[in-house]
Amino acid sequence: MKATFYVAIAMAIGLIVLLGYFLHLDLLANLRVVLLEWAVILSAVALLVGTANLFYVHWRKFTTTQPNGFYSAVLIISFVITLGVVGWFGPTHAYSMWIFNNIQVPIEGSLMALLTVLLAFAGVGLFRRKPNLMSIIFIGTAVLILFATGPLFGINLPGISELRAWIAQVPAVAGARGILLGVALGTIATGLRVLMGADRPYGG
Amino acid sequence: MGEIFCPMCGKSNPAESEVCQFCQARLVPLVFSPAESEPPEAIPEEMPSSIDAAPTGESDWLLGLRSDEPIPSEESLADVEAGGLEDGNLPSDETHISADDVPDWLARLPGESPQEAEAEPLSDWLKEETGETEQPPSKPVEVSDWLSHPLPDEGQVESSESESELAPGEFPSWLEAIRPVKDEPQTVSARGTPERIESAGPLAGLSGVLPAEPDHVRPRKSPTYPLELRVSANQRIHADLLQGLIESEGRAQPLPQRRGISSQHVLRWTIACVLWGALLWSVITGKQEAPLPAYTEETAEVNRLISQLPGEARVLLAFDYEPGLSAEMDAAATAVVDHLMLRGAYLTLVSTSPTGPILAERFIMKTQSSHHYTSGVNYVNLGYIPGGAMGLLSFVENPQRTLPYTLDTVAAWESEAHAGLPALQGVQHLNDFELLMVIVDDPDLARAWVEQVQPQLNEPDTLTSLVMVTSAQVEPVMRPYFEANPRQVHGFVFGLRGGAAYAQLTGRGELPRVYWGPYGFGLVVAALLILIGGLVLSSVSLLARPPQVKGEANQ
Amino acid sequence: MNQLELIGLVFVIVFFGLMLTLAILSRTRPVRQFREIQAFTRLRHAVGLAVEAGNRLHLSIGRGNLIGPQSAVAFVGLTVLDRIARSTMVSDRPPVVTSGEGAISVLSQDSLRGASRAIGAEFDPLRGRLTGLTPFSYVAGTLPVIYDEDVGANLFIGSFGSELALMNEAGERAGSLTLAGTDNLSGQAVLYATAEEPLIGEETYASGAYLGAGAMHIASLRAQDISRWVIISLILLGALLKLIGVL
Repeated sequence: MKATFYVAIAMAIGLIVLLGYFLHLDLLANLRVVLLEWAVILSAVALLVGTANLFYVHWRKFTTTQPNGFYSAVLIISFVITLGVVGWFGPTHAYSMWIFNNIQVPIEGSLMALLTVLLAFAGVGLFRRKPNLMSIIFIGTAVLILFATGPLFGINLPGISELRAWIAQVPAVAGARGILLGVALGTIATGLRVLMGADRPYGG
Repeated sequence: MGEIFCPMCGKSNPAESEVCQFCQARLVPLVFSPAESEPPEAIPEEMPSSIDAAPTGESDWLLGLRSDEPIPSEESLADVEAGGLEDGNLPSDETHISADDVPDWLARLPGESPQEAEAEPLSDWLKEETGETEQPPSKPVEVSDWLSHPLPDEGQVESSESESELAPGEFPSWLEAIRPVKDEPQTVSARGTPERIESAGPLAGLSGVLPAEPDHVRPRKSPTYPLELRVSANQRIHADLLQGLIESEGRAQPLPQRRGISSQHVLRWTIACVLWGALLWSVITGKQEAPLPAYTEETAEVNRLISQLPGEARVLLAFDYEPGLSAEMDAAATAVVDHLMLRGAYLTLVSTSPTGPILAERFIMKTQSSHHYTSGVNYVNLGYIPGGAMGLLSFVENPQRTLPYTLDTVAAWESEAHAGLPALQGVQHLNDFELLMVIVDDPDLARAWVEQVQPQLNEPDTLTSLVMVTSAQVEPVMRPYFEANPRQVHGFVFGLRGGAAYAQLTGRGELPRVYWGPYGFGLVVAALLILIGGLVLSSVSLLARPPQVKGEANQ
Repeated sequence: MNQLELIGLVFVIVFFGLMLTLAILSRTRPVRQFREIQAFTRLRHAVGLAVEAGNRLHLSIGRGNLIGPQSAVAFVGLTVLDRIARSTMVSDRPPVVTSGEGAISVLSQDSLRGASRAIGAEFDPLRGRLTGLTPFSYVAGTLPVIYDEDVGANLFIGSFGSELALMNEAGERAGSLTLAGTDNLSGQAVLYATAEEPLIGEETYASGAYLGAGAMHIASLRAQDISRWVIISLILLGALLKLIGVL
């Protein structure tokens, strides 16, 4: 009975929003706006719930002395300090900005730098892992774009910029479009399954 | 010397013995005599298998039974024979049986003299029994035939040497008739199971006799089974495995030993050192200055649109990138935002990312400090729009209701009660802004902006333009929006290359110039690493393959 | 309603009708087998191995917003979670789910609770957790799960960007299988190079059909196939007409 009720609500609201997007009826449009605002509010609340869950997970990890519980303690302390500083002084205060500028941005930037090394390593080992034509095309394209994007020590190889522009504007765009079309079809199928009640990622 | 055979075990005893030497059965019947008051003797531990086992000693009441009194009248005996006892009726003879009234048959029980028993005439039923017996009267019988000739005990008869000298006992004819033959095979019942042969008592030797005690109450030893199992080798292996699994459960597993430095680790570190070393060298020495790239059409469009902005134009600036990509995005957007500030535009900052508002503040403080833009005066930070694309749609449809306050909780919009901040003067809808600029690193987010904002911008008489400063990875996805007809995005600055090109256009923007040289050098080094490293690794793996695999590959 | 909206509405209705028709037909006619996708074959093997070997499955659903276009791939991730949770909840190491968005983490807990209830197992709400709110903080919070919680196989099915490479690398270092699928183009590019079993393009959306989530999943996959060929035909036709000057 409960499951049927949840499915009925999901179907009704999904239908209203979908039809409200296509059909310009005042009633539907107003309902759609209201429902979307509720969704925005719920999304913000879910963010808070997720944050609380994050805190609780690490608190449990720290108090039950699980492996690497020390890092959970660091997270908890950082969480409390940041919440306190930003909540008390405001997000644009110098202290808040100091935390952001000197801790968060450098850490995330370092992870991005690490990603660079990992991608280079993955590129080096790609042909060994997948020795096929697609890997050759993949690596060849990547190397060409890398050479053509940078200044190349001031050397202006003839045609390399045009080749790079052509690759970026034709095959890459075409491939991206194809993948995006497929993703769009999958999105429509998934959305319709949820609308029909065949997919129920809610209600347990 | 005369011998007397025990009526129970059938063994020979001296004539003067009153009890059997072997089974302690009485050889001489007890006669009641009040004068004799010998205490009763203890009952021996081993009782012979006879219902008539008599104690070794004599008790008073037994002694009193020994008398010369004639046997009861034939009438009473006849009553008994007729079944008086079967009916449960007692004999009609009311004669009180006292010590003096011991009947003859009782008196003829083994007593002091066996001759006395012979002298008494036997009753009819006893005569018949005596007469039917085929056993020769080899000895004087003190007791009835069936008493004087008990069934021999199987164990005792055959074990003793003297037993071979013993003469078999005499049985009454009727008993003899039903007695089984010694060597008769074990009878089998109708069910096919061997019948039980009674081994004790008066019914010894008979088969099919109901036991006195049912089998299920008889205490008997439980059957024993061999303890040794038959286990095959395979079963032993499985059992050991299972035992090992059970024993290991709950046992702390040893930590896996750290592997030594593998080739993968070496390769990773080599790549990292080469890349970072090249960049560090380039940044520290500054020897990799390179000419800025040429601008492209989409970049030039952005420049044209900004150049055409009126003074004190209202510009909506969205900071939708993550802190991890701030290095690239700051470098790409610096020259563009610098151009905006040079034009004196009022900026309204928003973001659909939780870290966006802070990134925006950081960007302005770090890269545009020379313009001395002040929050609340020259620019307004409206903060974070929750809800992703839906939140964006909500903001597009009604920005005042979606973000009514600034990041510093100051009322931002113009209303009847409030004048509103300078940056939002005269702004009610999205298309009241002269320019919308989105700084974004994610292609999906970029598409969301285009899809949500375009309906508003497509309205008639709308002069608002949409431009984007994006990461290089977004170019393949977003370029079609610029090349579409009509354009959905009026200009793009793609990555650091686009930012550097824009800096060359405006002649301003230090950050992309500083980054461009090392950036280009790093790109070349990375490309060479992938090319050379890939070739080397592939060659090594090909050469290391075993020959038969190569042969199979060539087929 | 303008022309574009009308075309969109018609397309949605036709697609819906196609799904229903194919679902009804599949009851009477045998369904044509789909091509083998190595990733799902290895996933089935990994699920069984995880229960027997006492390892844990780690499923990461990404950071897609539930009320945006990334919600579809997030729902796919939740469907996969539901399928594998029912298979692996009985083991002494139930699966762990990480996500980078609040609503997704709540739904993942809900799915785990439903699977626990279905088999009568105890539900631990910490099995579904939010590990970070930005892409790199999400990765940083997920890496300890991969390294420290005895994971036998990692499934990354959701909306991921290029940060996916860090998680794939961690899975490879930990010696566990990594199977990844995302709707993001940057993410697909990096996972082709870094993941053992990448799911490219629509293959992620076929997860439900390949894992036996229901007849409607199979019907929708077939409808996608048909629609794709229709669109390809229209594109080619349009290009041809443009080439010859008709359009």
